[in-house]
Amino acid sequence: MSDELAVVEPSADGADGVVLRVRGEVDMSNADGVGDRVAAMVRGNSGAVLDLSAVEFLDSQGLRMLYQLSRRLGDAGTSLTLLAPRDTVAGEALRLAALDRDLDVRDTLGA
Amino acid sequence: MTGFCRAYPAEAIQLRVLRGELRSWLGSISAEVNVSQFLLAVGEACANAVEHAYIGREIGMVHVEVKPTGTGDLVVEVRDHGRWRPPSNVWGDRQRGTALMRRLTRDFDRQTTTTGTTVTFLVPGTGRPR
Repeated sequence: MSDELAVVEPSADGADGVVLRVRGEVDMSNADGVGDRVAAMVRGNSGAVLDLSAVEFLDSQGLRMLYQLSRRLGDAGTSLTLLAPRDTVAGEALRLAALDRDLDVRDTLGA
Repeated sequence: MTGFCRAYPAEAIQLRVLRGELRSWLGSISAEVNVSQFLLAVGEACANAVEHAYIGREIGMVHVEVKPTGTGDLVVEVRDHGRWRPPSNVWGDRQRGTALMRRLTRDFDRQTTTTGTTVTFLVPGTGRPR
């Protein structure tokens, strides 16, 4: 659905591969739309980074979307890295749900 | 201190409205809680109602009540008048949602009767030693 609850945009930090940033809130009303937008923007790349540092809300439907997006991109040859420091809303939610064990979740992009 | 007591149509689009109003309310009472954890816990409880309570029926309301305890904690009650449906999807979103709620709160309880479901829990305050 088209709404302004969350924005997906190319990040200025993009150096190696595609780096996208999500701003705003992700819940059951827009999670799949956000996932579709990301998938369309990273198509054809071998790697992509999704910067979730600026996400202000992320619920279990948002977490499901990230899990499915990672699988879906992986099947298409694109490895997805989630940038979600543990002191951010998204970083906290991913770790609470133990999804940092299944997905490539990072505190920083260095190293 | 004044409590929060409002009702919303059980629709996904209402969750953002609820969060906005809860944020304002938390600010108005100067609540000392982890705001993102509080919003996540209440949001999951309401998402349950949106997903399950009124399937195949006219959309009903979700009632959200939050009361400060006086010792800095927040007691939350989320109530619908629908029928609880067990989660059916493979990934188990609702189990994850419930697991999140349990991890974020204390005294979590869910009561389902033929007339609806009531979820209650306590969100601990952060303003005093734990």
